[in-house]
Amino acid sequence: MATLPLHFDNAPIREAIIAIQVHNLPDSIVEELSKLPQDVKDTYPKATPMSLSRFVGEISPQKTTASAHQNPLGLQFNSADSRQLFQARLNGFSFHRLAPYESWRPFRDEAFKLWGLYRKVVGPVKIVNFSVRYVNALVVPAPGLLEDHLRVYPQLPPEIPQMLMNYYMRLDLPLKDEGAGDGVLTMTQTLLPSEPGTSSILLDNLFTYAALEDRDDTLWKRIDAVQVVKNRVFLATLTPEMQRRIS
Amino acid sequence: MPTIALPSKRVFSESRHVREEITWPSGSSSKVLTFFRQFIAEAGSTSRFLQIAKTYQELRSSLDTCATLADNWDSYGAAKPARHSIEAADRFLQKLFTALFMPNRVIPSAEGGVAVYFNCDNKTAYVEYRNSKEVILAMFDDQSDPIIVELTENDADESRALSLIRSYITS
Repeated sequence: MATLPLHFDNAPIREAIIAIQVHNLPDSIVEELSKLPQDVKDTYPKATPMSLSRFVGEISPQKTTASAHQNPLGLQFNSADSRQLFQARLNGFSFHRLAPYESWRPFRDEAFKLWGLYRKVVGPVKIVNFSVRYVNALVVPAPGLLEDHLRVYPQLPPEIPQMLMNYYMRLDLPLKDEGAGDGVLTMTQTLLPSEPGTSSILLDNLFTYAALEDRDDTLWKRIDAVQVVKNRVFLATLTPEMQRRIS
Repeated sequence: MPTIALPSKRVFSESRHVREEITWPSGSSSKVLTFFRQFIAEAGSTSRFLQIAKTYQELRSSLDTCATLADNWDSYGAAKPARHSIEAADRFLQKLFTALFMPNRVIPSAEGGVAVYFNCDNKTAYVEYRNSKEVILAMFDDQSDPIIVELTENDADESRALSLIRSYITS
């Protein structure tokens, strides 16, 4: 599928994530995951164990009980500069690229390579879903009108105050099949910490698709197809002025 | 039309009695913090960037706490951190956040001032903004001699400190 070329010199991407969720693997697989460092130690020299903690409390007239459990979940691997990391877990895999983000191709290729290593170690998996996420921070002068920067923002009637000290907006929107399958876009906006005289608007676009038991080749064709969708959504969300600001 | 409010210029409170609990910034920044904490709790746990942003907010709160200290805060006669030390540390934190490289702690200095600490495995690095306007970068571990670098409160030296600490901590 043809893809729109999209590049901004001052891209606001702070983090890009490709995540694949799988049906929970047996606990014994954690031992297998510990073999991964041999394959990735040059690029990802830091491996940190991840665990899942569970606290259960029960209050009833007869008695009050509490218990805590901690189980190994997997490993997180960080590059030396901590700008790239991936998680190999019993319930899935994710690859994270922090700013500066170069482009889709090297980002996607690295995720694909690491997924292959994960699959080699854990063996057969049943995929549940996959997601592609772009976490953006749009830094704009403040005070200023949201509509100058965004085409998706909360509408306020004139009878109520117009000054936003902060806002939190989350939209769950259906995505039609454009090669990636039917999916859901979860768009989240809020204000991040910022320097004086500016506001930093979080634009967090999460594209999630069910992928029940997809084969790997099908899965990655669908992931590649998300590129077109995420580019279109991103461009459509910004005003021309905002696009100029990040160019 | 909705307008984004101008975030209140960061103003550190005058020294008062030492507070026992961490205080949060007042005004719009506290609302930013509240919203942001809710957001992290609900949806942000899988994003490394949002975790870094949360750490940044917590460190700024620690800096606010440093700004409220009074003289003799440690009961050994330490001077309270001066306003310029706090403001310099705040600028450094902003620079670190932009670079997505977060320290572990911000604490008052017994020498008078405030220090920004980094820890990784057996390595420690800190930048200490002293009330005397000296800026000291120290890096040490249990394998080699400490490295001490004298800096000044300017942008170029802050960038240099960031670069030195990053390469030391991540090597």
